[in-house]
Amino acid sequence: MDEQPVSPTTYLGQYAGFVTRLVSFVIDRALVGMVAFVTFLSVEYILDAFQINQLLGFWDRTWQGMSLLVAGFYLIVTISYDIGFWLLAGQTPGKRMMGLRILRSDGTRLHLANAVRREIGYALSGILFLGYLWILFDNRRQGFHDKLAGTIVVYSWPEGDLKGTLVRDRVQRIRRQRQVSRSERDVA
Amino acid sequence: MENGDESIPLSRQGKDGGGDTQVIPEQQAGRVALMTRLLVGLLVSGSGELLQRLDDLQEEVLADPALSGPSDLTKVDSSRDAVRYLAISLLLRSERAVSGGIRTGYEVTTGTVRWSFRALDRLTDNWLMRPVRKPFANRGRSWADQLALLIEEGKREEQKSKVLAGESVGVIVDELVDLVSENPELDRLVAEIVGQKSVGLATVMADNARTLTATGDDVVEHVLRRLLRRPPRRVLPPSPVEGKPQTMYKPEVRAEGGDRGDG
Repeated sequence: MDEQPVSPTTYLGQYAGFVTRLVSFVIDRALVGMVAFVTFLSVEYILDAFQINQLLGFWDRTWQGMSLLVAGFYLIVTISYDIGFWLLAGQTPGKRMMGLRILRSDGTRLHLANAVRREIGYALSGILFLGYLWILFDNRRQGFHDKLAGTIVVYSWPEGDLKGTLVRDRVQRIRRQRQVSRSERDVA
Repeated sequence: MENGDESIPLSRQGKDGGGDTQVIPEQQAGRVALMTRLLVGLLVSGSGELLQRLDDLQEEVLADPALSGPSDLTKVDSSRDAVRYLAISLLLRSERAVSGGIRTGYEVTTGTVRWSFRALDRLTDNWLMRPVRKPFANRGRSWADQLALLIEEGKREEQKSKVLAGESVGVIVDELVDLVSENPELDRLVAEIVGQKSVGLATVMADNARTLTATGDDVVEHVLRRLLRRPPRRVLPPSPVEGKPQTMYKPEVRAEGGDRGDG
């Protein structure tokens, strides 16, 4: 019997759910927004200060052109950020904060093709947010982008090293109580 | 012509005689004003304290050659270190250049403004220009008076805010200590946070946030399934990495290409 009983209180390796993923997504987008904003302003300042804008003929820009430029820049930063971090660590800073990791469906690390497909999938999942909401119903908690890229998102934080904090204790107590009452109900 | 020969100063010459300074009536501080005052006090006191400590520390570090850095400055261990040293040097140099530029800019601006006013004063202080000059001079004096009043008020408020912040911080700390000592659960948490050398406060907070959101994952799904009249999900299917350490992104595993074998 090589079947190891998994502790009911551990999240390590379990499929991550909608709320955690949403929080990590918001953190990532905020980070990307800040990075893109600061970088764009710095580049703009340097181009203006050395009058490179005038030399290149970018001086008289309309607000539409400016918006397009900002949007394009934001898109490039977002794609580089996502794909770069996924390939290097399997997690973006936001996902790291929330203790999540992206893996291929077989539990191995992501390849470039998976990362690119996932990024495209993000855009598709954004249509009416259906692809994201699918995480709530899917058995393996995969969104459309995960299905398209063949990836899963799992909890990755080393729970065993951190014990005894107030919230953790309380949550574990509630989970244990629920499990006991559920098994009692099953027996009955 | 009334006051025909009277010379009218363009700018405020300073308080003469005193007693004519309009004192702003002390208003009863509302809650928002009180909070603003507390915030100002905390910022002023905090930044002052921090700068004072930094100054003391810098003096200490500069005085002690052992703390000032390595004796052999020509030796660089790796190219990564060299890039780091270069970046630090450039950063500090650019800070010096920027602050020097700001200082020069300020001096040039104030000098130009002072010179312009003096020149304007000389040009307009005659019988021909006096009727034109008078309304401007009056307006200028009024602005200068307002400015002086604002500065006085700011000075008074800063002092009050500092006292308020000092007192409030003292009271809050005392109450916090009382609260912790009276509540065994909080006391345990604080002792644990202080006692855990390897696990910092940020880690504990992150861990709590993760636990909360992970619980939120289950709760939201449960509620949604109930709303849609779907059977509740008892357990999730096991993932390929459930309960296992995730080493696939460690450098040694990457170098071995270990991730491709089991796929």
